[in-house]
Amino acid sequence: MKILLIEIYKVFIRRRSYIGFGAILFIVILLLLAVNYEAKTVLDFLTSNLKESFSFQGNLINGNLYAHIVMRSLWVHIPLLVILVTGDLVSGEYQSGTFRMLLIRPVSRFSIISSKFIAGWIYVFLLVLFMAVLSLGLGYIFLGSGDLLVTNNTINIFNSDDVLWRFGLAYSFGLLSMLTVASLSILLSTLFDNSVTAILTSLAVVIVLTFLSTFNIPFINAIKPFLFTTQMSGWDSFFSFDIDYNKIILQSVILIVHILVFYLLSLYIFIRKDILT
Amino acid sequence: MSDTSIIKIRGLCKSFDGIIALNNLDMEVKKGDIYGFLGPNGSGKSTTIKILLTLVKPEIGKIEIFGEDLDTNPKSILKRIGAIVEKPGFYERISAMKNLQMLAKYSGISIDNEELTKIFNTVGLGDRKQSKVGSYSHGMKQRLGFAQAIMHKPELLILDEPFAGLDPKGARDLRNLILKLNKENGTTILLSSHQLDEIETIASRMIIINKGSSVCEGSVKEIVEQNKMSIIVNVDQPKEAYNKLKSSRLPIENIILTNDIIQLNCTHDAIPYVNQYLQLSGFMIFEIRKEKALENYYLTFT
Repeated sequence: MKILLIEIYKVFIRRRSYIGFGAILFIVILLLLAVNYEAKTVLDFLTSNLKESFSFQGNLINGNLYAHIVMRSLWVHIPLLVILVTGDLVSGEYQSGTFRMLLIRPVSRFSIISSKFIAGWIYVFLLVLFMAVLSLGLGYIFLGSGDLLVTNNTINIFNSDDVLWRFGLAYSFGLLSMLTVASLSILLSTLFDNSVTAILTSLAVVIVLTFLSTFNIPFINAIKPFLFTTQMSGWDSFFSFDIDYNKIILQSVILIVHILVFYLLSLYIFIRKDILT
Repeated sequence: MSDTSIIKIRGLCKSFDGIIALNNLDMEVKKGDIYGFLGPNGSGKSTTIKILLTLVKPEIGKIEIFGEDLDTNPKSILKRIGAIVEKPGFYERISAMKNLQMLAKYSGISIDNEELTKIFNTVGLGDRKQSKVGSYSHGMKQRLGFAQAIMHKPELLILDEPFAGLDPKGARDLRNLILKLNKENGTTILLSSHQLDEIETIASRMIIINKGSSVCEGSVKEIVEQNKMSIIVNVDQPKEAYNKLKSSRLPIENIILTNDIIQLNCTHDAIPYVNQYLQLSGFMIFEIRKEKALENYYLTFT
């Protein structure tokens, strides 16, 4: 427990740990201003394909819509902010030579790497919680509550009292996705002695896998369901009337298996690694 | 010193990407030793130290520390060791005090601020203990490295190049501290250094390794005494003294006179005879000193 507390402390004494919070704060406020002052444009943009068939009435620009816009806008970028911190968790200590001080203490490498994973996960949890509280909080304060309009290929309008639990589950699923990204970057951070290499490789892996998940490439299709990037958009499923829970459970299992594999691989590498830097 | 082995290494081998770093290394550090660990760059000193501290895994070989097998009991062994490995790495954004508090927690030891302050004072950082490590000079970090190594009162200190980056005063202070810990607390010290003078001054036993193997191990005094060393003699009438020594039957060799300074080779035991002979011959002796005996010896092996 002591080691875990120290690892959490070490995460939060670094300036880079606050870049993610700062970036989210900036984007959330920017989006709030945009939604507040450009309400008509936003609504036109969201309903551009539907106006010929539907007419919209009432206050659709509200805190719920705003929070949903924030989620959509930020989920693409959150992995980058997560990697910036978690990609440095282990490699940063190789690079600065602090492992030469820590690993000569009577403490197991298992405890150290496990504490680093948990500290990284706690950071991700706080980042996602910050985004959720900030977007919903600011949305309700400045735009008030109301029905949520969600447009994908279909149009769904959720009653205002049927929305919060959807956000809760969507953020929970999103958190699982971000924990997967964090675990991958900690694995790569364990592998590389240099933080920049670890961070850039993590970003490259996420970008390449996202590309493979998004585009329809016949020979990749067979493995697509097993890529964590394919499952990361599962949070959106909670904003439909017919939620396919079996699919969501399967997606969650795939993400959890990825997290476990990344953790066990990191453990294996770290325990056997020679500290030469 | 006693015959109890604190560190016992047998047949240690390690290679990195096919390059042999350690090749069947044997060495033994006894309780109460200040054990000099010498060797040129790339000879395997740092690798050996890192293996002793579990930073690097050996391929073959057996290591016993405090009579326990390092492979099976690393935790209980590391509890009793303090070390500096290469350049000490600290968390630069927090204070030196906070760094040590954190390392103490990692070590599972409880140490209060008063005790830590004493340690800071001991290493000469008392007035800078609350400063961020990022503001420290290299020498100060080296002192802090020493502080973290001794804060839990270890029975064995492993110091890899502890004098690197220290100014002459810092080096002297550290030397005195090492001697004090050894003398008063009985701390066994394994000391790797390129500064042969320091080893010659403070070490009781030593090993020289080259290309990953031991080339010489034993008592520093014996090694130095068994080997003829260069002696510098400074007297009031150098030319006359030079001629006198040259024609003497003293066990000296290679006597030369350069810039009114006499230089000759002899064993450690012969020095008092040279001194007495010159005094009885009526010369006024300003200085007789040994010149880097260990260095000459070291260079023959590496």
